[in-house]
Amino acid sequence: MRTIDFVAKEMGRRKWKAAAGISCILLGISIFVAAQTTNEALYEKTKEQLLRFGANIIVQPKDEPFDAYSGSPGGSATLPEIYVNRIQNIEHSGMLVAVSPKLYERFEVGDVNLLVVGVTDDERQAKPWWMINKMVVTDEFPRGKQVLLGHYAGAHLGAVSPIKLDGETFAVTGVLDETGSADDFAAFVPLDVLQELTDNRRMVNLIEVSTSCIACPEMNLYDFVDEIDAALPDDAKVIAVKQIAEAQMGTLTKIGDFTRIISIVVLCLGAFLMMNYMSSSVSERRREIGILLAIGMDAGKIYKVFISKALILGVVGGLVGYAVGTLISMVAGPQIADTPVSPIFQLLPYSVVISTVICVISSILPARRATRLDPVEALREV
Amino acid sequence: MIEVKNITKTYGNIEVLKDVSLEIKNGDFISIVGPSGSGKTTLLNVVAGLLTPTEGEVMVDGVSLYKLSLKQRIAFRRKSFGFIFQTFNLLSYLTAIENVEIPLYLAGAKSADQKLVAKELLDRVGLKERLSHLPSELSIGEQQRVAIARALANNASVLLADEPTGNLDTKTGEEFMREIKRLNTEGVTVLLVTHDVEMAKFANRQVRIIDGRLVS
Repeated sequence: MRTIDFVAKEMGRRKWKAAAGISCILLGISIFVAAQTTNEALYEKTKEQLLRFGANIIVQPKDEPFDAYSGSPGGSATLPEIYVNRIQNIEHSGMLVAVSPKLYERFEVGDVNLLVVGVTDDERQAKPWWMINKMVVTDEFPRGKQVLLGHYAGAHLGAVSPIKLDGETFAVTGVLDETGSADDFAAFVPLDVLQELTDNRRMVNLIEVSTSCIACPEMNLYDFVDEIDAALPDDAKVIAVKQIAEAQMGTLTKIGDFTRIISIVVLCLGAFLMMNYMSSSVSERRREIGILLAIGMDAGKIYKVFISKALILGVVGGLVGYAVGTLISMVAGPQIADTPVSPIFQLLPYSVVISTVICVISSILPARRATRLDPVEALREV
Repeated sequence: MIEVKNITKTYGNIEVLKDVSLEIKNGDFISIVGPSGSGKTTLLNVVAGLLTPTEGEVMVDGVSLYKLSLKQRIAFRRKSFGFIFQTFNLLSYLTAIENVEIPLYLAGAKSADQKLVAKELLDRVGLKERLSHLPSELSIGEQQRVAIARALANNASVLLADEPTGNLDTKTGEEFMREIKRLNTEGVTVLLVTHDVEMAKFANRQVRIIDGRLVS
């Protein structure tokens, strides 16, 4: 017999008691996992919603006023398009959702003075809310001599196809649903086509950058601004859209803080329950501990037995707690976060380690109590 | 040899043992008899190294038991003494063989050796066929035989038994005592505490204790 056999036999033949012990830590771990998993889904959903406010970083020529995109005509200062590549190659480029360069020009189309924006494929990443008849824009995204019209631009032009821009014919691929932004009044053509048309080859007015990581522990929005700024020459100005950034960072930080507090409270509760369980186990087993002390069990062996039991409870509690917590979050999460919740497999090792550490720490005091039991007193109960 | 020298044990103002001295030679079989509350179990606990006396000392083969540190005393007890308590002293969740393995496990013996020795001992007390039975599946007499095997597991030279027949019927009690007597003839020193004068007769020497004093 080894210590682990001794403990496993005791737990195996007193299944209900072992189950009671596991349930103490399972409660804490499952709520921890459920909170983290639901929070992650909520975080992703909130992030997606917040990103709809627009790009969170703007790169523009140094002396250009910020309202370039809100309708300033062409002819304003430009930046080389090559800056897009530099931004795409920053150290944390993996966290960039879209790097979307733009060129603006105004054209007279019939009686409408139309703002035409040259865009690349990244525009679709940056603006997932672009819809046509409530369907995501796919084939309607302009290629070659094609134009996609904003909602009111389409309404003004009467959705006539094709339209002429500076004498060139463009087929209308579709009219966007209303977005409530400046996009409603603009028309969108491929960037290279507009560059050609306006003789602004390889130049852009503005680069919009959307990051996926707004308030991550390792990178916040202002860290991205610094990183992009370092990658670009002095003629470019990198601006965090502060109101958006602060709202985004504030909301996401609050969600994270709330989850952390809940997690700490439930894990403390789990530790308290586990310590209680171990202590009552010492009280209930006084007679047995007395016999073992009398026949020669020393303090070291008692600690070994208690810690082995804590390890088993911790590992099993962590595994089962992870499964139960994930299940809870998948069932209840969609109702709380209003979004589907997926399991986070990376939480599994954390659950097991946290559970085991809590169980081991919670068993030390009860084990110490057991080592101090007077065998004569305990044997009187035999 | 065990020498109990002028042992006094008090709890507050109550003197449970009063200047008790006793010599137990190797291979002896001594029974301590006395009425309930006379101090016999207290004396056994003091001899076993479980209860520090207020005065006096216990020498086992020249070693003063209470001059050892607690850790040394536990190790000494594990090596030298085997214990048999009144019934219900087996761990309920371990089988007969596992119960006998415990002292060997506590002494750090290898798993394979533990099994071998435990099997041999249970065979010796006639329980070869009951190795994998839980205590609840054994009769009280069989449980006591498992307890004997466990007491002998570490090759203990001294067997300390506290009312071992207290919960047995007369026939089972006598069988148990014959087993103890047989072990004594094989060289094991036995110190038996009992209030049953019939069982005490199995010993070579009887000592009476009344109100904490040895009277014969």
